Amino acid sequence: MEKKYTPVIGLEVHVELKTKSKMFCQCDANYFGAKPNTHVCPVCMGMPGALPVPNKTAIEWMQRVGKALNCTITANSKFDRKHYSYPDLPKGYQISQYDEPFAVKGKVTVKNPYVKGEAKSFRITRVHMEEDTAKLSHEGSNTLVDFNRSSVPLVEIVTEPDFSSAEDVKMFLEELQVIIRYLGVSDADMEKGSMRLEPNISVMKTGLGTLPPYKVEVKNINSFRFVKEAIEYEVKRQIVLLEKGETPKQETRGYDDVKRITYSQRSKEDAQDYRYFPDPDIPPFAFDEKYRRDIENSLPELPPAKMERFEKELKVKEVDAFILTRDLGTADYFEKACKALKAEKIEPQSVANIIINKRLLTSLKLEDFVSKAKGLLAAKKTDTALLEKNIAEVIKQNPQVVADVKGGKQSAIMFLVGQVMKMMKGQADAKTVIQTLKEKL
Amino acid sequence: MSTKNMLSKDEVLHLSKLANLTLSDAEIKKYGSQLAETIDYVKNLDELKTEKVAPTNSVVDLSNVSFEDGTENTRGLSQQEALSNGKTIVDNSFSLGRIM
Repeated sequence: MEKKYTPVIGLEVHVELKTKSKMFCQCDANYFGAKPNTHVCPVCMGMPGALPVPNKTAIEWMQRVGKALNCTITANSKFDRKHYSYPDLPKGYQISQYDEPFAVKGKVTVKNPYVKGEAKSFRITRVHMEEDTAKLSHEGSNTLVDFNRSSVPLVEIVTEPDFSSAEDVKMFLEELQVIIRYLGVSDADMEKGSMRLEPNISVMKTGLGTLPPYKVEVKNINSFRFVKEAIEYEVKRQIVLLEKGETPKQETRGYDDVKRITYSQRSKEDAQDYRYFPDPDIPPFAFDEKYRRDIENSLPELPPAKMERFEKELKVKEVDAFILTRDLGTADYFEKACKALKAEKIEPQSVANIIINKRLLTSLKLEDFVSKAKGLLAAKKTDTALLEKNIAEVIKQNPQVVADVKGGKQSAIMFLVGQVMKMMKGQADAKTVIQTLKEKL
Repeated sequence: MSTKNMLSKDEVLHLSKLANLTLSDAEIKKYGSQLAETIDYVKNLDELKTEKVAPTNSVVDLSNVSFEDGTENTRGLSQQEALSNGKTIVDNSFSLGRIM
């Protein structure tokens, strides 16, 4: 049934920046765990007459995110007001960006060895800067409003509808999280709410060139685990409606992670209903070429480039290069360890094995890591000539056991392995010993 | 100024929903004509020649106004001050009737 239809999915991803101050006032932006309404001022509480001033670092960081997603940083930009009425929005509008965002037209290419097929590219429509809303909690007969989160810097990343499966969405999001963490501008933690996903989902008849005439936005997906579940549920729901000859309603739906279903929240406003207009409280921005070049130059080596370098220059296997570059700290440590162990003629691939397979901790002091790594590798380095000599000796000394093994008593081989290891004084790799022993028998 | 183009009841209701206002039938009628008048007034701009005027989104001659991250917060409120305007306070938060 699903082959008859193809999901068409575009994403809106919100990322909260970990600047010291909020976006439009100097209140402490780190609200996590703070007492309600203690990181507040007239600006973020939306009091009449309070003037917002943008946070310079937040804008720079947002532009770095845009550049890391291969966007163009715009030369001219401004903030707009987006109007809607909800208790989490004290001014009655959110300061956001409409027609002149800080970054446009990017592309993210993901090469994930755990996913079959070629590298995939997803287009980025725009990246813009806005402010977070207050936090609502629904308890008993009350809805409580805490303004600590109000006006915390929020980056919105909008993609083209380039995704056709929940797996693609998950793969993209994981890559996005890694990139953002490389930049050091956010924890991008879905469980803590510093990264939030709102997919726009519709379904079209496979092969039909035009996009469906509706889209459903799904909110409240707050963990990687639920990304796939929520999208797969929504796609199935829409296919059932289409099979009945109905067009799904354009609306916003929430995801219920207990019942594992999506449910109708509200009909979606059209852009005109938001009555966007330039915020007269905030003068426009212009960025010269030097500024924009500096933003680009401030980026660290990003995961795809690093992965390629590990593969090509350090001759590390693709899957290992992928694992090592998922976290900047691990990648840097790996490179330092490689340099330190190069003098010992230990290849980067061996260092990769020690980190990935032997699970030697990258939190160790480098000199401790180096000495432990040398130990592990020395044990593994088997003197083949000595091994063969010892095996011959053990076979000669234990004719009965050898006969047992040959007679089909496979477990008896372990006794011989033990004898060989004893003669090798532990300086041999167990697997190599077993293999060589089997060959000799 | 004549008000030939009264706003329809649906248009007024749509606007009132966006503005989060509840209107009586009498108000719907009244605002239907008042809003039409307002729109007509704005139409006066059509009489001006604006071809050579660049689109303007800020009337102050400033740009790139921002503050340095982490600089001193001089406008912060204490929790007590922040909550002092609230009608109903529960657990140091502003309380509404439950909305969902």
